[in-house]
Amino acid sequence: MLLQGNEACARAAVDAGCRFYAGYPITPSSEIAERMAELLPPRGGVAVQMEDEIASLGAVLGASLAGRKAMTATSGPGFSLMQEHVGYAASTEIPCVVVDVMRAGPSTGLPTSPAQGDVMQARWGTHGDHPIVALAPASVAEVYELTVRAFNLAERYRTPVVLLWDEVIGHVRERVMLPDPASLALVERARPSEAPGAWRPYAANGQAVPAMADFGSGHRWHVTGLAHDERGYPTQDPAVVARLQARLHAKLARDRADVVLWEGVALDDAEVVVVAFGVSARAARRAVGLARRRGARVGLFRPRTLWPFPDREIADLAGRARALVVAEMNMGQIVGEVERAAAGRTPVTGRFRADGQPLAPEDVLDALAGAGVRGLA
Amino acid sequence: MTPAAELDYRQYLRTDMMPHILCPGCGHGIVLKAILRAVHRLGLPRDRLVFVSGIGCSSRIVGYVDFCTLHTTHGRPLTFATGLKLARPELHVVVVTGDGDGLAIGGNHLIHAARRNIGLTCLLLNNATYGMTGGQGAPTTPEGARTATAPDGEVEPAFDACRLVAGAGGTFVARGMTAAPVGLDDLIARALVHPGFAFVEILSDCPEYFGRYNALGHGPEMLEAQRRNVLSVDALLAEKRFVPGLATARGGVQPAVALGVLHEARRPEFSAALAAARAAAPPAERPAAPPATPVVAPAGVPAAPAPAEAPQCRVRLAGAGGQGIVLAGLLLAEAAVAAGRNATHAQAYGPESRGGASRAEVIVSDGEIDYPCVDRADLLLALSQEAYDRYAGEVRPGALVLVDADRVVPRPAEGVACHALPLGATATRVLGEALGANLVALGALVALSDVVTREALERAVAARRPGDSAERALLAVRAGFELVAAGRR
Ligand code: SF4
Repeated sequence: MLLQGNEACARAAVDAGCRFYAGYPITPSSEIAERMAELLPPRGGVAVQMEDEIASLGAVLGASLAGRKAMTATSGPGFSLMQEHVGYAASTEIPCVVVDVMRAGPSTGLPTSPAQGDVMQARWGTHGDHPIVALAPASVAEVYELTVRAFNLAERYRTPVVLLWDEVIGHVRERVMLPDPASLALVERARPSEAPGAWRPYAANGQAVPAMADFGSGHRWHVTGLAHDERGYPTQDPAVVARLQARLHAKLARDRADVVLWEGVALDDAEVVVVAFGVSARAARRAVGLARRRGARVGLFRPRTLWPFPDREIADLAGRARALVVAEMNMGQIVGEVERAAAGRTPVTGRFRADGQPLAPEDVLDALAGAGVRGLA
Repeated sequence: MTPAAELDYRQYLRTDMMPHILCPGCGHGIVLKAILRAVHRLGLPRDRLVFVSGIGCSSRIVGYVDFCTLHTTHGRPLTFATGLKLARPELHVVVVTGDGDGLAIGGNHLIHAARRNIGLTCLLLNNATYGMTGGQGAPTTPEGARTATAPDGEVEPAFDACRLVAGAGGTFVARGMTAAPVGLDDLIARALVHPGFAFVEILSDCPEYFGRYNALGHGPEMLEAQRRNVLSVDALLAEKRFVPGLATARGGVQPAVALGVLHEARRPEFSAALAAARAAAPPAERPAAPPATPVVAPAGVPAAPAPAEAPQCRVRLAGAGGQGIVLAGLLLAEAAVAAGRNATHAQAYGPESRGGASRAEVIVSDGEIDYPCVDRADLLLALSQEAYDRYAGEVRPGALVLVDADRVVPRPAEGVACHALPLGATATRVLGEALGANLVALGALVALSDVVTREALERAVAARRPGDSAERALLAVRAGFELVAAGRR
């Protein structure tokens, strides 16, 4: 079947159990809203167009508190508006999935052109320290896979999960075989086993993630974006606040392999490794294949999870490779993370493109040549 | 003794969250009690009650009630409440907001919640100022009143929240005041049972800032001033130019405020309207479950070998918006996939909905397609001179270029086979309109290049029925085959 990236996202969302969608139209993400409006009502779900992106994520969080798996989708300008609620979801631990189909910015930028400029926004767009997950698929099949994964992670860790892909991945159609939805391993948030009176909403009881009751289910509790204690009540007690912060930051680190996903191509004997994600990784894959056929020992490391960043894997590569070359469609965003992880063990160079055009295999070959890889011409 | 007086409020309160944060004399506590009396009187099941608020002094009162309570972000409680209500229409969702929260930063959400007629109760506590941040001006601060940010007196006119909500489509609009707390119970109770968006503006007082800055006295004096300034009860909507005690003190406008239910209407509640629209829609076809094949390998994939390159045919179709370029690309890709081959389809377009340049890129291969964009094309179709000029140089050696002879003047190029055929004219001849030039072109391109078989293309066209008619579309495609055959003869 030939399926578009954005359509695959909508299919995956309903297959993962999403039953609420709220959004606001914006290029190049609108196909997701349109498909959700078709797919959800026959399955007993609700799709609603809100008055803006702030309202969209607000409604998603309300629906999630009512026990529904919920999602919104947007592009850079709308993602900017959503940031306060991303932080609210992180603080109150309300599961949600936010798709950002990246277009060229800043500001209105190039609305129909691809870019990868929202990586840091996904990490630090909202104020304050907070945990976040961001996944970056590079194909239509992977959009499906990681959208399902995003719901699972959101439910398991009670966190906002951002899905980042560029306009090319959103609009490209590729041949995919979708799995039988019944075969998917789906995760539901843990619900309290205690009776309403005995339950403390933010007590993790030795786990990293507390159980969460649906509003209206009989467990009455308080949710606030203020710093809160285990009862969910506002507090300014430094010890309690420090405990909350520590738990929020630790919860994604507990089961790192569940969260930090990546793919390697020809890494075993690679002397120079390209680091790229999304459509840039597709260009890099082509370039690496071409270079290998010409005898060059090069490889590709492709983060499928951007946040938390796969820094241990990069550190390991930095200990083995002669150079790392980062290729991305922005003015240099993950390159800083790669440099931080490489910690001076090997030189890191970047190849950036922010002109609204997809990064091309030639760009990567050129960067490899710049890193001293010979015989590519 | 009234039933209200017998009520032990503690049964509804989280006393372990007390002491509360409100100042002595603040009007918001009076409102909280009125809410609880209304809930008690109606006997609403407390497990089905959800209270949602934003940011501000008034929004803090939801924390103290023992229901499901949601203290959200500044100005946005109605958005969370909308999601809650749509997800679980059986819940009673009550929004408590302030005049800054609900009318300034959150004003747009108020308008749209009213317009949708979502079944919520929205209580807007109006004390004409920002209490929590220290008495700055609000959209409800009356002209002339002093605030922390308007020491010379407010010059902006005040909002009339009730008229706003009625105008936006709210179906229950009322105004009450803390100086008439028993009447407030009635208004809140009526709002709670109203099947639609129910809005109650409640005049409350902030003695701590507004009272102090405007020399209005303490809580009791401000309450007394409220009573003096009632224009009418259940009157028609009156212009709100109301500051307790202020207008007379300054000898200006006669204070005037209308209390009671100011507007009531019936129309379908939003979640009910959505359900009705679904019930009226034809039943959805559920596609048969596809075979259980994992889409890609999960988790961290260890180092895989570099891909061997399978031959690819890279096709670029270009022209003007509205020429059916993207559709032609889709048909080509679908033909390849239906024939068991691999294909990708990417499109590029300008921000405009019609016109402008349009481009589709199709890659056909029998192996993995690593990079889904076409950098240099093996096949180029150009339906406009602009498209030709832009892309003629971005082809591979040995490329095949097809142009519409009536629209494009090609330049001779080394190592490129260029075919100029009357694509638009042929569409006009066969279909009576030039609109099918994309299909004629597709037929010609396939006949010239064999990128897919003619049968595969015909099957894809018949399956998609572009223009809602497979016969006409097939006529155009076959005319394209014919053009090439005639040229060869
Ligand atoms: S500042 Fe004003 S509104 Fe806030 S609690 Fe005190 S009196 Fe009430």
